[in-house]
Amino acid sequence: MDISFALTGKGYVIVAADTTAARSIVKMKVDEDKIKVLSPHLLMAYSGEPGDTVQFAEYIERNIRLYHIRNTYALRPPSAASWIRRSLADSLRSRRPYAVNLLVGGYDTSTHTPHLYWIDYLGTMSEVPFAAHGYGAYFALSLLDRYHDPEASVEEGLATLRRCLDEVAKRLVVTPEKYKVKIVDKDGVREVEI
Amino acid sequence: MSSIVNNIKDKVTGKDNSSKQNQESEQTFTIQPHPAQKTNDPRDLQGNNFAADPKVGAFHAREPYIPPPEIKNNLPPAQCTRSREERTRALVLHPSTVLSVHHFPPRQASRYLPNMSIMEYNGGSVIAMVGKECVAIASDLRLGNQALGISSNFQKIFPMTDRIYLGLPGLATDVTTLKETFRYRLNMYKIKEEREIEPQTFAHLVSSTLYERRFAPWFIEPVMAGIEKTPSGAYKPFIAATDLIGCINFAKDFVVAGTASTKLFGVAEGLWEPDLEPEDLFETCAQTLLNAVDRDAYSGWGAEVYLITKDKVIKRTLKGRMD
Amino acid sequence: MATASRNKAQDSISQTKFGTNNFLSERGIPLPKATSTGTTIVGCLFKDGIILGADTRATEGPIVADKNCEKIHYITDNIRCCGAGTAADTEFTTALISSNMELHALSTGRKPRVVTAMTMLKQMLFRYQGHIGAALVLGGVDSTGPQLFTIHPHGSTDKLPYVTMGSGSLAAMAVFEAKWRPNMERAEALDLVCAAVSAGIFNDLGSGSNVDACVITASHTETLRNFVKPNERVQKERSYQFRRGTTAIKKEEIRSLVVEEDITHIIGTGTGRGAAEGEAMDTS
Repeated sequence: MDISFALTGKGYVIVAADTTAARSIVKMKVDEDKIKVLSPHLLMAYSGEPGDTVQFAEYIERNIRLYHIRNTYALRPPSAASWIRRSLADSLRSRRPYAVNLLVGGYDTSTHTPHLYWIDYLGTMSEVPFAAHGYGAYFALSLLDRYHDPEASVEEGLATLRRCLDEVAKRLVVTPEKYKVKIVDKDGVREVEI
Repeated sequence: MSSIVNNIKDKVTGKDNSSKQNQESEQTFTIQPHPAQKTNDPRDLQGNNFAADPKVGAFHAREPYIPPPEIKNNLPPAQCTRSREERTRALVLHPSTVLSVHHFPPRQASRYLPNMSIMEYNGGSVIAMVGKECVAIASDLRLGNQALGISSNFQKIFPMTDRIYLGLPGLATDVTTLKETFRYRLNMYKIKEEREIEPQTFAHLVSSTLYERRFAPWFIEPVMAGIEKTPSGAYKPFIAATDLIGCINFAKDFVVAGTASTKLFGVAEGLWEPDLEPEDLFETCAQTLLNAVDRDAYSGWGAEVYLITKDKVIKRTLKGRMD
Repeated sequence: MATASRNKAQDSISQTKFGTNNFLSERGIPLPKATSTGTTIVGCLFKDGIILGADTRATEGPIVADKNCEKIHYITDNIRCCGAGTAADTEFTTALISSNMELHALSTGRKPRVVTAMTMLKQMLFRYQGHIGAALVLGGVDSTGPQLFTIHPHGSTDKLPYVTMGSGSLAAMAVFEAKWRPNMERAEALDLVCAAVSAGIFNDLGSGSNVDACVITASHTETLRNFVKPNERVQKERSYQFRRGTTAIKKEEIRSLVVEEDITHIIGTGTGRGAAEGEAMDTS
């Protein structure tokens, strides 16, 4: 039931995820942050099987951090995404795989380009201009096809995201009430209210 | 050595040594008795016949015990509903037992599984064709989650060497994993051999890599195309495909794989002809792919063609239907 | 026969010792099809040795995957093996046994015998309990004379003067039953093998295309690839070439074979600021 969106723009990536933690039909929590900040310029929104998500996200977070400590610089988004994907792909053929879907967004400080990766629990990875996971994807992807602009400013990007959230609020039966939205660009990560 | 064995055998079977088999005739075998028994005759087992023992024999088992009426009618009453309810209440009130009443739904891995063939989960198709001193390999660019399209720029064809290209249609996670595996194995090959791999050898590398996981396969049906250098120095086109466990198909004309493979077979069979010049091969290959893919819901969303000739490789991104 | 063994191998994919695919091969999901040689393979004894025969069709379900594949595999100079069943399995088992036979020959210093190959094959197939879907016809001439065996996927073997295997085995056996005699001449026996394989090609849907044969005698082994081609494709009546420029191109890249190297400086990530932010990140 988790919903997450992400889109790239001119020099930034916006990542949004709903904040509900549910168990069966019950909302257990309405202010859960499901977007991890992996490194100064890297974000990861996660969703999926309740236990697996946090477990896997923390494993990734710690290892990306470890790399940063050991090497003094953080992994660049393509490398980080590739390593995260491999972790999931290896997990898929283990005895008990993680059922976690991810959106990895980052800003490459060397080439000054934003990167967004769509990754699912099978380890399928694709670099995309915009992405969504969960039921929100069925509404948002068509919208983003129409309104997404890779050259858009942050304000325009947030307006496009707003459209997606509104559409989901209007048409999806089970609508999350709140979203957490984070932006990563050349200045690092910041959270915005929407 | 074998004569000793024969001697022993003759002794055991009680065969006369003089009638020793001659070398020409075929060996014969008899059923040997168990070392603990003298013969195979069932009558020899009579001595310790378990079935005949009344204490052990199944037919001498006792009847079930039925209590006489005076006992049966004087039994204490069964625990009533009320006492059971009381017991439950006591358990629930106890702090440590409350948790055990809470019900967690069981984890079901199958709940998350695609309800269809794994090979069709992400969609995608590849075709390779032979021409005159050239080969072409083409694929669509769709990445889907069953019916939902995720990306229209998911490449399935990867350069392995300057002159060998590999197409990997199938489960997208394995596309990436195998691409990385082959990159690693080819780098190792290059370091050890100090040369680039030949297409024929590469086909066997692909085949072995897949058969390595015979009983838990990669869900990929690779298609490869390349130009090989013959000992005389001439260039010869090469194509091959394997199934998901590594059975190689060295075709002379074309090879196909992916969700649109059935359609590709049909169209290619009609359009392909021998000795096409590079530019004609490009048109034939591109048109075969585009038209086959238009009849497949899981393939499409753009296409690309690699045209490999002896001096250059041309990659062309095609305009295709986006529905 | 071939089909049955293939399905069995796939049903139990997750239980074997090569690792698991549990998550994917959970109940209810049909496993993808492997290429199988729904085949006609035969072998028979004649005056001077053995003749093996095979069709050349490989199938993937109802699709003909390969119209001219090779099903007579090399074991040693004087031994060949025809394979039916899961194509990859026949290919890899015969290759493995061929390799082991060569090593065996080198270590014993003798010309290898057919029974040796047969024993190696049946022991391997039995070890895998039928999960390796290879149904084989093994033939050759060695110091003990001409030898002909069939080996089933579970490891059982037969030794007969004429044998057939694969989905077309019934059609082929009917021909052998009617026409085979002991001590046939070479030409006569080769005709019989061709007739038997042809019976499979024309009457069994899993078999098709051409006849491959292999004649093994004490002195010589003769491989007759595409010995009979009863299903050759005729010249197309028309050319279906497209006019150049038919396909719309969005982008064209010509790959230069000159190696280029890009060096990207990544120190710019900002060790000072980045590290400071990294610390802050931890607590989030």
